[in-house]
Amino acid sequence: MNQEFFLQELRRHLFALPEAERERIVEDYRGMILDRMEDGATEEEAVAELGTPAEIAGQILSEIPITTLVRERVRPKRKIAAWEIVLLVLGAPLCLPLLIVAAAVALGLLLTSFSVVLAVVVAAGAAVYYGAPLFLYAEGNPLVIAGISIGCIGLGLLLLLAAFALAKRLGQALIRFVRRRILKRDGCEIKA
Amino acid sequence: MDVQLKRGLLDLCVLAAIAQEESYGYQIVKDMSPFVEISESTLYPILRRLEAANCLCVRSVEHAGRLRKYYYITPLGRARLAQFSSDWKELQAIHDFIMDRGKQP
Repeated sequence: MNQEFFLQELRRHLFALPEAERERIVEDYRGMILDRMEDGATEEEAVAELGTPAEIAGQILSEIPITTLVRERVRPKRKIAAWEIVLLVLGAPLCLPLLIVAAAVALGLLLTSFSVVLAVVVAAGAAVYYGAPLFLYAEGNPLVIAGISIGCIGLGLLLLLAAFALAKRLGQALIRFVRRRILKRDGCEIKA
Repeated sequence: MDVQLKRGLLDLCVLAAIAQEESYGYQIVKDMSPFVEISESTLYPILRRLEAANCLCVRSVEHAGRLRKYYYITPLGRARLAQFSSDWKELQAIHDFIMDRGKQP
């Protein structure tokens, strides 16, 4: 195990600690590795002598009273003042409809976006469906007709690709939005 | 050795290791190793505990382009070491009692 991987693992096992505390411990362990390497050990040996990150984290966490850990995690970011509660209650008749409107707008935007994707797919289909058989019945220069047919097929394929790309982007944006807005609220940090 | 007993003794060993002059983690492990088997992962929580109890203090010293943490003993830490001396006499009396009365009849 190399130094960076070891420290990364240690950091992961100490996730229950506040960030400053966690970084302090990680830096202390970095120092221990460097001290051993100065004494002639290789990086691998220095890391191996310290034990596994899980054991180390276990020992450190067992020294910390559970109430401290729970408090660090559960403590709300800020307290809600009395006037804010009054405002919330009084504002409810106004806020609720506003919230519903916001949700409706969001839903509308979502549906519109996916309609656009669907429209592009339909356009692609139409281009191929109507464009390709042109040379069977259209009159005129056969070369020009054939060119138009092939062009229509190409256009259809391009539109299809565009639709796929668009759908993918929309999906990713939606997932990101949900993660940020909804999952983060319970106090857990989501690391993408 | 009994875990609880060893735990208390290790605290004192660490304080003793820095009683003469300040020291850093790896040096403390090396100084103690002929007498007490201790890994740095065991030492580290002890240092943190002793620091929280104001028995020792930490200062960062620049070394080879980075900061190395040196631990030094406080008057409270010295008091803990002195306390052990009187504790030891008591412990010896307890030991004698256990050995004397704990024998099979």
